[in-house]
Amino acid sequence: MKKAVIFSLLGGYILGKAGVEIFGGKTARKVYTGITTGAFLAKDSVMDRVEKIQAGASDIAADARANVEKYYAEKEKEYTEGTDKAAAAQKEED
Amino acid sequence: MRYRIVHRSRQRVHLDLAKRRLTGQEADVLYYTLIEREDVETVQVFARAAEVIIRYRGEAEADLLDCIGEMDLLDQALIDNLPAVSARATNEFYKDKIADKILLRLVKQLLVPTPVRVVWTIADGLPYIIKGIKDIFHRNFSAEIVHASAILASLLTQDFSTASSIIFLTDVGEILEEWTYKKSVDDLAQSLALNVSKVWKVEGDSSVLVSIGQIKDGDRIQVSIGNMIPLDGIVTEGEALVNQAALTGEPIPVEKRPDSDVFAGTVVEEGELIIQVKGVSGDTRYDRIVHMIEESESMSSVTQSRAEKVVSRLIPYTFGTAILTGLLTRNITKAASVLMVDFSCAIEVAMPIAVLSAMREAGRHQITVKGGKFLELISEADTVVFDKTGTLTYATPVVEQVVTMEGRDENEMLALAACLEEHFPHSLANAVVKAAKDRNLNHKEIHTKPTYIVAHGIVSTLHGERVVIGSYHFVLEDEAAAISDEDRERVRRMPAQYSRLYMAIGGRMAAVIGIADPIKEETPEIIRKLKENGIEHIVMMTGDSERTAEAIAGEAGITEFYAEVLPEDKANYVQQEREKGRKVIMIGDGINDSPALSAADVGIAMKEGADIAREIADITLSGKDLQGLIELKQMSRLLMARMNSTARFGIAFNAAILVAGIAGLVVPGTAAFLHNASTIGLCLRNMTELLEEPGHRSESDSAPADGATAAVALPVPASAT
Repeated sequence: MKKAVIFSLLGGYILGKAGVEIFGGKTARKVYTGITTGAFLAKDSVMDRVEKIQAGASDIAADARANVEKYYAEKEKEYTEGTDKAAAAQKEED
Repeated sequence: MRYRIVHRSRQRVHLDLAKRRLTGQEADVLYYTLIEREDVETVQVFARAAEVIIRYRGEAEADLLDCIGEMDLLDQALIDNLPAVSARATNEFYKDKIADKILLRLVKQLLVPTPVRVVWTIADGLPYIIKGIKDIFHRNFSAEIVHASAILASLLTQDFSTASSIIFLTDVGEILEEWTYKKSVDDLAQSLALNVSKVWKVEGDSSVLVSIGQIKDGDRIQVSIGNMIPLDGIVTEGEALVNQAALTGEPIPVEKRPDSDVFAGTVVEEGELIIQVKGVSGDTRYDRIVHMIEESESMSSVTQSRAEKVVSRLIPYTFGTAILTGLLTRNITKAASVLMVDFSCAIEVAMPIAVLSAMREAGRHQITVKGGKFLELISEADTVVFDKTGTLTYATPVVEQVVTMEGRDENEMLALAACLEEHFPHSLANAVVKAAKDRNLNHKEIHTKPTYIVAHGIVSTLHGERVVIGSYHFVLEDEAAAISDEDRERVRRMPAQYSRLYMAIGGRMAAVIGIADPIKEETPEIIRKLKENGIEHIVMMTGDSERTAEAIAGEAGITEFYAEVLPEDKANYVQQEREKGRKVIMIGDGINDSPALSAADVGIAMKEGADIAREIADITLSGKDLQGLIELKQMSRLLMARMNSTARFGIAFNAAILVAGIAGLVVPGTAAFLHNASTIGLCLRNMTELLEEPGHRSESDSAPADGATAAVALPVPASAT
């Protein structure tokens, strides 16, 4: 029992010290920097994509609005043509 | 700079610039250079993609494309032109913050192993818990305590996903609030900031009008009554009472004499100063304005503070309910559900956002509102007092006739009048100066320093003789200028609706200038609409003659008016109305309106008016179109409705969640989610436009910040741009 405890304590201590060196040392830091760089680049690419989509969506909305206006303009034209014809027909009857 | 057209439609063009991406500064240069153009309505710059979308007026596409083709984003001249704070940078910053939060949350939920996630959540939650404990210690029953207890309860019940969702949503709500606040303060500071372009530089014995960019340290400038001091400096000559409210918030003017320090942005209320300039830059002033805005209590509204107080008293009861539920149902989960709900959340976060957004929206309509409480007062107002000249009538009336006496030359008299009038901000002065300019009458400053007597006129000397120009009362009664009967008859025959400026030299009447002060086209309609929108009592007060006042009042449709009124009378009248229990709005543009503007519940000044009126007023409108007044009334009514609905929905919905939680219909996780999501939903709704149509733009100057926003990745409607 005692040996197990001592060994595990010792082992833990050594692992701890080694761990600090492994996970906190220079090489590890370089790895972390690399990962973080990658993360930032990934985030940037996501944000870039989002912006491009926004710009594009804005274009689609503009087109749609233009179409709607064209639609109403067409309807207006048809209406006035219709009333003109009716007025002309009336005149002929008189 | 090269570009490619990605999309074009009517009055809109979408360009992709030949660059991978734009730096913050490049994006700013692009935005601010474009938005200054007359033919540009809105600009959206997408810095990451190096793209830009421009909405323009008329057929300007070709010109715009040329402009962009020639633009160099690294041009120092353009860079120097950038404003102190870039709205785009602010939006970028907060957008990033929110994006970071969202991405981190995704990473946390999807990628990170459970044990790490647990530790991470606890680490995130700790600051909240600590803050909550501190608040309890200080017996400050804030909403933070409720958040902290909600998080603590979740952590203790090992419900880590609920804890992290609460933390996430609360954080996002806070960021939204901070963002809106910062945008509002920046917008307000921008519009309050110096809009001075020309100053009077003292050279030898006289002053010359030069552009502010030409002033260097050590130069002396002259600032007369009613004008803003444009630069920091020391007084070398003269005495004045200076209103430093823009700086310190105190409404009582401070006396300045030789060797006193004066500061940019303050206004000369009485007197005149010659100042030696020290420190020509404008940045420090901007910081000062921001500081002043943040300190002033008028940012929040009375309703909001009232609501906050009511709700914060409920907080101890929330705890009570939670404990009671726990004891009665012996169910920790249900007790925890109660803690997830927090009534004050919606009120503390969504209400300020509503008020601030309303202020910003007003800004987009060319209306500067200096504090939320004024919007509230507008909605309660039932009385409006109008100044006539420059408010109901155009700010630049026209000289129609010059009647001269003793055979003097018309043009000579006009030139002399212009010479005296150009020092003082008054709409009649504008007319005289313009008329002189139109007739190409240049004048050297041959008179001595002119002195302005408020509501009366101007006094100066010319070749030893005393020259006065001003109202009938001043020139003929106070100064007793001599006038022959024949001339008196000529003056009497001048059309009744002309405002008259009387000028006397050496005690004898020299000329009378007839100025047509036509009523603004929209005035009658505005008066009618005001009545429709709930203003019962409309009054016009003017220093002008009874005849002109009657004519204008008749045209405008105003039944109650007072003529030949002095500034103190205006203020007294306003005071009396308030004592009767009415809520009064005073609208004016001149120096003589300042006392009344201070006395009213809400003082509104025209943007084109005297500096001092603009400084004292609580709200400034573009006088070019009084429609802004109606929009203001409508906006304020809608804002109050919105605040009410926020409070009602906030309380009702949260109460429902509470009951559901106690009944066991929802788990704490769902309760927390519903509570936080509804709060954020309210925030987003409160950020939308109050009025339906987008603001009409009468000028394309300093367009509001939104144009630069690559719109937030949240559903803010396009009309907000």
